[in-house]
Amino acid sequence: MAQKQTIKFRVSLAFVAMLVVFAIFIVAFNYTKSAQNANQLLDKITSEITRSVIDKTKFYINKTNTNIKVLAKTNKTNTILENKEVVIGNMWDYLIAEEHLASIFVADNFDNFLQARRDPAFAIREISEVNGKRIDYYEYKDEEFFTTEITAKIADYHPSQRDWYKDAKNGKFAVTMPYIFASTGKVGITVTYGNFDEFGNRLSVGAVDIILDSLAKFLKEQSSRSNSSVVLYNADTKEYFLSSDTELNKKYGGKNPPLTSIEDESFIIQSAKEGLKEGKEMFFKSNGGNYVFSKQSFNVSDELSLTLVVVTPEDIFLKEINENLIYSLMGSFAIVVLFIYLSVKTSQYISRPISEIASDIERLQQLDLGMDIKANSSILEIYNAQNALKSLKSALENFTKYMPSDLVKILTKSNQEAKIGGEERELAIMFTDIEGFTAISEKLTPKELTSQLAVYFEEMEKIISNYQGTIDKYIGDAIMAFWGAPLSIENPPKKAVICALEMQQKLDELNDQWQKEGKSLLKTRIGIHYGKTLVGNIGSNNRMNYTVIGDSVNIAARLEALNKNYQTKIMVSSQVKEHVGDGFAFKYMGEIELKGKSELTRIYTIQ
Amino acid sequence: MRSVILVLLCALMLFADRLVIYNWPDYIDTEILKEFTADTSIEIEYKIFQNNEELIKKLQEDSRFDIVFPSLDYIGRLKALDLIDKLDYSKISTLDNFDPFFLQNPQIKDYALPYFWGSTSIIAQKSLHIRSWNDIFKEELRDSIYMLDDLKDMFLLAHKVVGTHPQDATREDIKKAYDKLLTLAPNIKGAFKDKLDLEVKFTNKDIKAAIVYSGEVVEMLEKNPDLEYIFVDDGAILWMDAAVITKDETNKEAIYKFLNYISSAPIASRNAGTIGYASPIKNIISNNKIINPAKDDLKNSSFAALNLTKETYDIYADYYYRFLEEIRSKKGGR
Repeated sequence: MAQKQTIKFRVSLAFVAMLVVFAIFIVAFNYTKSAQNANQLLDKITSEITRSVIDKTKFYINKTNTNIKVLAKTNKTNTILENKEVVIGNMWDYLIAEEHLASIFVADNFDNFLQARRDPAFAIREISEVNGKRIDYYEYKDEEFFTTEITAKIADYHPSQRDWYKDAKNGKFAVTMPYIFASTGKVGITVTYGNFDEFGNRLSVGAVDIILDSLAKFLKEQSSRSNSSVVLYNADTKEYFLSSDTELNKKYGGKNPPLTSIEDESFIIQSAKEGLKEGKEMFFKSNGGNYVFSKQSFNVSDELSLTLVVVTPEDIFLKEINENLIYSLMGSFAIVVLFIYLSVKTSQYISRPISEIASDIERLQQLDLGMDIKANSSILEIYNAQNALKSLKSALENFTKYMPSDLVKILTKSNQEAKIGGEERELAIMFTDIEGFTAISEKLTPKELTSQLAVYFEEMEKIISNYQGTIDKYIGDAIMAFWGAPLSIENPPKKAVICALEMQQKLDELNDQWQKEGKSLLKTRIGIHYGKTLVGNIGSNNRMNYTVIGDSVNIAARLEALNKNYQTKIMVSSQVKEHVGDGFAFKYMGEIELKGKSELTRIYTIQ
Repeated sequence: MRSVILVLLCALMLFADRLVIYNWPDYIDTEILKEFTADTSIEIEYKIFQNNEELIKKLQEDSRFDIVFPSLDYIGRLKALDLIDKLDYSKISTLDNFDPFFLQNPQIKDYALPYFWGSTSIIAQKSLHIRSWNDIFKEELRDSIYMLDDLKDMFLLAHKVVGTHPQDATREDIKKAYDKLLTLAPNIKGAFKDKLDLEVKFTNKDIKAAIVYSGEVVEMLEKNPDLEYIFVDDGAILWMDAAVITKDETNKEAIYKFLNYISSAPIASRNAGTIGYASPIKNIISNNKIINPAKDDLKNSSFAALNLTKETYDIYADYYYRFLEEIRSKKGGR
């Protein structure tokens, strides 16, 4: 048979199971949602970085384009010295206004050169012809444009022979790749604008040297938020322009770096940038991690295109998500533990009345009717059950008055239904009768009668019960009892005899009492026989009695009646005497003829 | 290859002629510098000081200077500190260009070549009717005057007012002058920076008067008819800046080339015209009566100079510092 579980366990289990399912669902849902969000966020961040870097780069490099165009075109007779003071004044203003400029300058075909510079110190530089010689003239300035020092020497710098001059484009802005400025060691670019005449001859060139520090810093800021690598390349990604790593910028400004020699991250970029399609983002597994890549080309100016590569590691968010997952699980676990405790408590509360009912029923089964059943539950069904049980207990209490409880217990224990049927057993049968009862009953009121009888029966019953006798029935004032069924006992006749003696003794006590009370005295005659008897459920299936039939019964009745003839109180058969043994004062009273017996039966009385 | 060239260049630099000059701000026509370089191939490193004190200090720290342009009093101090050499006037081919009066000045003699001269007096709102040095000590001018942040200028002024003689002032005389200066402190709002700044201060009515060099006021007066430069009754102070040479032996040839260059008549004339101060060169006379004043205006004026020996200088310096402190404390520690 399968193991039975308590209600408490079942209910607790049900609650906990529900919660666990629910918790799993929530945690799983959260996790997938977070992962989804993270991916979207990665996407968004990469796009944002790309956009802001492109905007900033364009702005940064093109900021002073108008200025250099103006400078290049300030001369009308192709010498820039024409409006020297004005030009110098303007250059100085531009330089002060734009902190990312290292210098701003203009030159013409005559090798005249005007420059406002910031590094290594604020200065105006002028190269021009004086008294037939080219003089290189510096005026060092403080922030308020006051001169702090002047130098003059024979010039050996020919601007018109420099690359920046020769490479300047007609009416376009040309941008160099980054290089290291000799005077300061900083990384920068030069933007030039060529002023040409209508025949395509270069007249003058305006230019700015832009320091890329601030732009690099911007790239670094953009990259640090999400641990991304942000790298600007030239159009075909073969040349390195600028990145978020300042050391790299210094190291590789303008050169084609062997990126495999730098840290793994850059290697990822190297391997990615070649495989990437324009603008596409994809995930790339390397070193066990996922990365989001973005590659975007854009035009900085007429002459310069750059490519921006942004690489963001996925685990920047994944780490957080996984951490969150662990917290979720821990939290859920704690809640489950708490919930287990609560559900045990709750189910205890629910199951208690049921358990009580179950135990009450168990006791009823034992015909243990001593307990008190209360109908006090606030739960309707339990209350109804309690009430029913209470009624059942009352019913049972009533029933047990009418039937031998031993028998019922046996029947209940063996789970047998009472059926018609009997067996033959050697039983001791006892009949008792009150002498002259009719005359006594006429003297008393019904109430007095029944109450006195009740006392009499109760006492007699007690004694019979004590000696393991089974009371068959009460026939008016007579009692019919037998020994040896339904339970077998040792020496039934002996028990019956001792019982009879004690019954008489008790009656004497009762009579003494009654005499004092002025009540009628009762005298009982007892007859006992021992012999084969048919005992069992006699009657029809729906209505049966557990009783005895047979000759032995008749003999016992006859013996009881014979007491009248011999003036005795107890009359037993020889069969009784034989089985009882010594210790009893039997007196031979005679022989009688019994039905069905060929021999005469001896009868005895006990004194 | 690169390093070889570098070494050669350095060597070349050592031999290449280069002059290190130290002068006042806005005190030379810069084209002249360029032209000098073009004509002689001599490199010029032209540094600028704000006042005599700075000049002295820098000279003591840096030995590279060749020609410096101190004021009269400081020629004496440079002599005392043994920082300058005598001039070999035989090498000055343009000596005859100079008005001998200037050459004979006791401070100039033997050591210096006059450069520019002028007066130190007062520029003020006409409505104030300032006529003497005493007038600037008046209480009406509380916190309304710009002074000259130069020890010699302020003490020459003080000596003048007190009546002591700067060239042989005793300790007590100097103390007297100092005490007088203290009484001026409440009226001092700030010091002359440059003529543009001065002009702005007058326009904004931040100041009502200023102690100033003559050459600084010319344009200002043209623009501000309510201002006047006063040759005070008790005599404006006359000053002179001159070129002196340091003890460095290496560049002597270049030095004399330069000195001759700037004192040649055409260059000196152009220079005076650009800078707007009076030249000690003969026949360079400006029409401007402030630059080249009439004899009447200068009747009580003279080229005065403090006697700056080692001891007297320290006394003056200490008093000057305390004077500045007094001014600062009057302004609540500005």
